[in-house]
Amino acid sequence: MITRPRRTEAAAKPSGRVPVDLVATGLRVAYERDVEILRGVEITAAARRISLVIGPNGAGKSTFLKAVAGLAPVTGGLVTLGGVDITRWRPRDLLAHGVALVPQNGTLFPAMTVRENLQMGGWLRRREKAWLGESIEAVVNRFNLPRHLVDRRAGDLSGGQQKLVEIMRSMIMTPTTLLLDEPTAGLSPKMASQVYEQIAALPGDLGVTVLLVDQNVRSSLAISDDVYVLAMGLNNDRGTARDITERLGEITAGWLRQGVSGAVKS
Amino acid sequence: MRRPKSSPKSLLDMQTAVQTLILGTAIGGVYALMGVGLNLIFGVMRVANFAHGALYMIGGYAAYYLTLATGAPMPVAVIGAMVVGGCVGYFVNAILLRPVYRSRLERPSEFTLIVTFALSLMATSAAAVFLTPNYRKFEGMWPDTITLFGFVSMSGDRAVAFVTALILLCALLWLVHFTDLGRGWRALTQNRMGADIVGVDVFRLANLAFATSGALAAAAGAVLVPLYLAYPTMGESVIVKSFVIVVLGGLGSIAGSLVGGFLLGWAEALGSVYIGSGYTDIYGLVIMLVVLLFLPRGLFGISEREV
Repeated sequence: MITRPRRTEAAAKPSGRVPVDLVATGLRVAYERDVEILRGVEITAAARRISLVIGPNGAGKSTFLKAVAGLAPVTGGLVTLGGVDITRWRPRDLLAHGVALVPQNGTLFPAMTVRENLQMGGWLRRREKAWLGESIEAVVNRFNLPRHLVDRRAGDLSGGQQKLVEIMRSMIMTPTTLLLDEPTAGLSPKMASQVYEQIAALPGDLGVTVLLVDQNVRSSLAISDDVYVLAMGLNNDRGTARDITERLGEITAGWLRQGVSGAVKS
Repeated sequence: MRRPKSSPKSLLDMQTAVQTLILGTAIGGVYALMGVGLNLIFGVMRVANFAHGALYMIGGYAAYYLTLATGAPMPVAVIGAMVVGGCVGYFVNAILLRPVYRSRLERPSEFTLIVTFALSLMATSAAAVFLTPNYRKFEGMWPDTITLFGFVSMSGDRAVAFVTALILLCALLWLVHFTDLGRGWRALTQNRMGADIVGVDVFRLANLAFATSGALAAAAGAVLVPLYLAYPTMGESVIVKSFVIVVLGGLGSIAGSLVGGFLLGWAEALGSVYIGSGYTDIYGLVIMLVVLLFLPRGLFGISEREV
C-alpha cells in the first residue's frame, strides 16, 4: 500500500516509528536522455541490518544512493520505505520520515563548532530546545566523542573525526534508516576502522537500518549483513556477506574483465 | 573648518586627519550596511545581486514619497522604506529567481546575474519615466551642522545616517549569530549540501535573506536622501561600492563586509583630502585591487566554496 506523505516538519517527530525495509525496485536514473546510469536496480535494505552495495568503478553505486536520497534524477522505478512511496523525495522530507543521508564529500559546516553542527542536525525540530539538547548529549555520549572537541571548530578536526561528527549529526533526528556513501574515503586505515566500528554498532544499539555504498570492499564486508553487487547499472550478484566474502576473488576478477570489455565498447 | 590662530601646524594637520577619519567612519557605516546585505545574499545563495543598487534607490524614493504624502517624520519614513525594500527583495527572489530553485540549471549563477542585472536597469528606467529624473529631497532629522571636540564639523544628518546604520548592523549581527534563522544562513553559506541534508528549507531561507538584504539597502538609501538626494540613477555608484566592499572583505563573510565598508569609507575620505576630491570613486577600487593582489580571497574570505 502506498500512502501520501505528511508535511515535513509535522512528520519530523518520530512517535513510535519502527524500523522498516527500504526497497528499491526497477530503479532507473538518467542524467541525460538515453544515457542511463542505472537500468533497473533492485535492492532491499532490510530493517536493522547493514546492506552493502559494491561494484566496479562506474557501476552506479553512488548514483544509486543519490537516487534513493532524491539527489539524482530518477526516470523510472520506485523507492519505498515500509510501503510508503518515497521516490524523488528531497533529503528534507526523507529526514522527516526517518531517512538520513551522509554523502561522500564532507558536509560539515567548517566555521561552526561541533556543537553547532550537531544542533543543525536537529534543524527540523529546532524549536524544541530541551529535546535538542538532550539528543545532542545522547549522541555525544553514544559515540564517545572527546569532550574538548565539542566546542572546537568542525573545520579544525581531523578527517576521521569529521566523518564521525557527520555520522553523529545524521543521528540527532534519531533516523530509522541511514544512507552512507563511502564513509571511509580518504581516511587512514586506523581512522577507517574506527568509523566502521561505529557503523557496525548502529543496528544493534540504535535499531538503525544501514544502507552502505563502499569501495573499501574488504573492510565493509566485515561489518555487513547483506551484499549487493552492481555492474554497469544493473544488479550483478547478491548474497550474504559471508557468501560474497568467499567468492570475492572470483567477483573482482569479473570486474576486471568487465572493465576491459566496457572500455572497448565505449 | 575652524582654524585656531595660535595652533602649530602639526596640530592642525592632526585635526584635519581626525576630521577626515570621522567623516570616513560616518559614511563607512552606511557603506557597510550596503555591503553586508549584498554579501548575505551572496553567501546564502551564491547570487551576485546586481539589483542591490535598485533596492537602495527604491528605499530612497519610498522614504521621500512617504514623507511627502503623510508628512511622517524621518524615522517612520526609514522604517517604511525598509518594509518596501524588504517586500521587493522578497518577491524578487520568490518570484523572479524561483525558476533557479525549481529547475536543475547547469549554471544558476549566470541566470541570476542576468535577471538581477536586467531588473536593475528596468528599475532605473522605470524611475526615470514614472518619477521623472528630477532630484528629490526631504528634510532630515538634524539638518544643522554639528561640531565635535571643537574642531570636527559635520552635518547632523550624517550622524543620523551613521547611527541608524550602526543600529541596523548590530541587529543583523544578532540575527546572524544568535537566532535559528541566522544559523541556517551560516550553514547555507558554509556548506550547501550539508544544509540540504539536515533539512534546511533553502527556498524559504533564501527569501528571508533577500528580504533582509532589501530592507537594509532601502534603509541605506532612505537615510542618505537628506544628504545626497534621490534620483533614478542613485543606485549605480552605490552598487559598485557594494561590490568593492564584498570583494574587499571576502565573499560570504559578514564580518568582512563590515570591515570592508569602513575601509572604503576611510579610503574615500582620506583620498579626497590628501590626493584629490575629484577621484573619490577611484580610491576604493585601488584598495580593492591592492588587497586582491595579496589576498585573493579578500580579508576574511571563506576558503570552502561550492559554487
